[in-house]
Amino acid sequence: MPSTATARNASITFARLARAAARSSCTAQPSAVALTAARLNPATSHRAAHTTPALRQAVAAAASPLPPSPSAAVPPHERARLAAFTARTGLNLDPELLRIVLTHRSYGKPGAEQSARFEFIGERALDLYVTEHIYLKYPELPTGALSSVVKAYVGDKAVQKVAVQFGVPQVMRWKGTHTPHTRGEIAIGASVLRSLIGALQTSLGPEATRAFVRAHFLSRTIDDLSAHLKVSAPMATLALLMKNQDRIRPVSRLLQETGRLSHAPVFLVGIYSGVEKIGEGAGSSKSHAEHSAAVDALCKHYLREVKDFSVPSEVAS
Amino acid sequence: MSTPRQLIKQLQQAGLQNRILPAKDLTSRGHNGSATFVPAITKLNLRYSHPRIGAGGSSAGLVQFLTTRLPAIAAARPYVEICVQPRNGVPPTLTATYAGGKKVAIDVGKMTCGEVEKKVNFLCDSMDGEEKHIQRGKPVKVGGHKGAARVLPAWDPFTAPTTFKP
Repeated sequence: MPSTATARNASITFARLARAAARSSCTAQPSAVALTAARLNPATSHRAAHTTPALRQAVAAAASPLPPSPSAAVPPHERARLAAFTARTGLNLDPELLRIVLTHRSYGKPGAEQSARFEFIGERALDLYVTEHIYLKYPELPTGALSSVVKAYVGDKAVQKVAVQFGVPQVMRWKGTHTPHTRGEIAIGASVLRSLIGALQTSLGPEATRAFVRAHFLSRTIDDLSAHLKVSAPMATLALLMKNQDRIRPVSRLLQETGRLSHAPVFLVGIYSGVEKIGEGAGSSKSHAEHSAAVDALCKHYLREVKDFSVPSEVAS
Repeated sequence: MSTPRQLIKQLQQAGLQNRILPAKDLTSRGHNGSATFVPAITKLNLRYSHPRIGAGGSSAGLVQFLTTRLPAIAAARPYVEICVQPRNGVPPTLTATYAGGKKVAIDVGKMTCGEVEKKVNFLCDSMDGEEKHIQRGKPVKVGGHKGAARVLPAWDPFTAPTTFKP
């Protein structure tokens, strides 16, 4: 039938135009232009003949001898989506591998479980690169706070935020692809992002993965680091800490006060180790202010930051 | 944990922390653009009305854009999935999909090629396809603006020269 043949020819020429555009662009990345001839049903396909001269010229110029390869796993319209995703995120994976990794196991088709293995590796690689960075950045941080800080960087919430920023839920294939109104999109997006990190680690190596983790996860900031530090008895802890460091026993002194007999007094207390002030705190009573000063002194000690360091995985390679 | 702490924790977990100590923020915050920039736009649909004889006139500008300017723009913006689709009988539109799933549609009927290019660039550069009316270039006023820093800082008990003693 001539009408269907015209429709098929039109879709093929549009695909060729996309490939020509890809070849003509200077970048090594495939072009994200997908010229899809949608809704070319037999009733309207005769309209394809009445194209403007410019459109006809563009289509004719793009005619190429290369037929679509039968072994290509990724159809043309998906190639554009994956190319755009690659350019957006910097994950330079092959389109075929990318398609496998972006297929969550909830998709249901056979072979959808392969991304679970990448997720296993990705979760641990992400944890490793962030942990070694935080371990060296805060050398005095206790282990409870260390795990809490690492969780802030690589926990579910952070990975979900980064996945949504990349637009992973729109590119991935999951149970919601063929079932509308399905919940769990963002959680599964996080899972797919971990698979992507695992694929990056196995195919491009630790340097590329470390650079990716630094760019997208370690660039995040924690507003209040002292929220991760749990101290039950700050005065006693501080006294023990000073003793272990062979320093003078801490003594608290009232520095400033205002409104002592009013309804809103403010006392400013400083904690001194000899003549050196190690902490300062304010409160509505003297003991409250002393407690605050001890917490401040402990924060200054445990949350000490190192600026320049090299991580073990960087030195080893 | 003491009973008051237990009660505070229960109230915080129940979300009733407005009147008492708020739960501490144990999350991290992302800053897009600090180390690397991830554009918000994911897909751009350009739907044109096919220029048949005596029809498709409202998308003449869009069709001219598709034939002349689109390949260069697509090459300059590799992070956008561009989808060109003919849609007859309806006005031509640009539909942008953003990273959070938001879709923004703009009617480009009877627009020139230059106007369409402006809209395309605006959609590709913006975060959610909406105009942000930010006031810039405000004049210097005698009393100062409402949120501006004052020459004399607000009084605080630690740096005040005199304190109240009843």
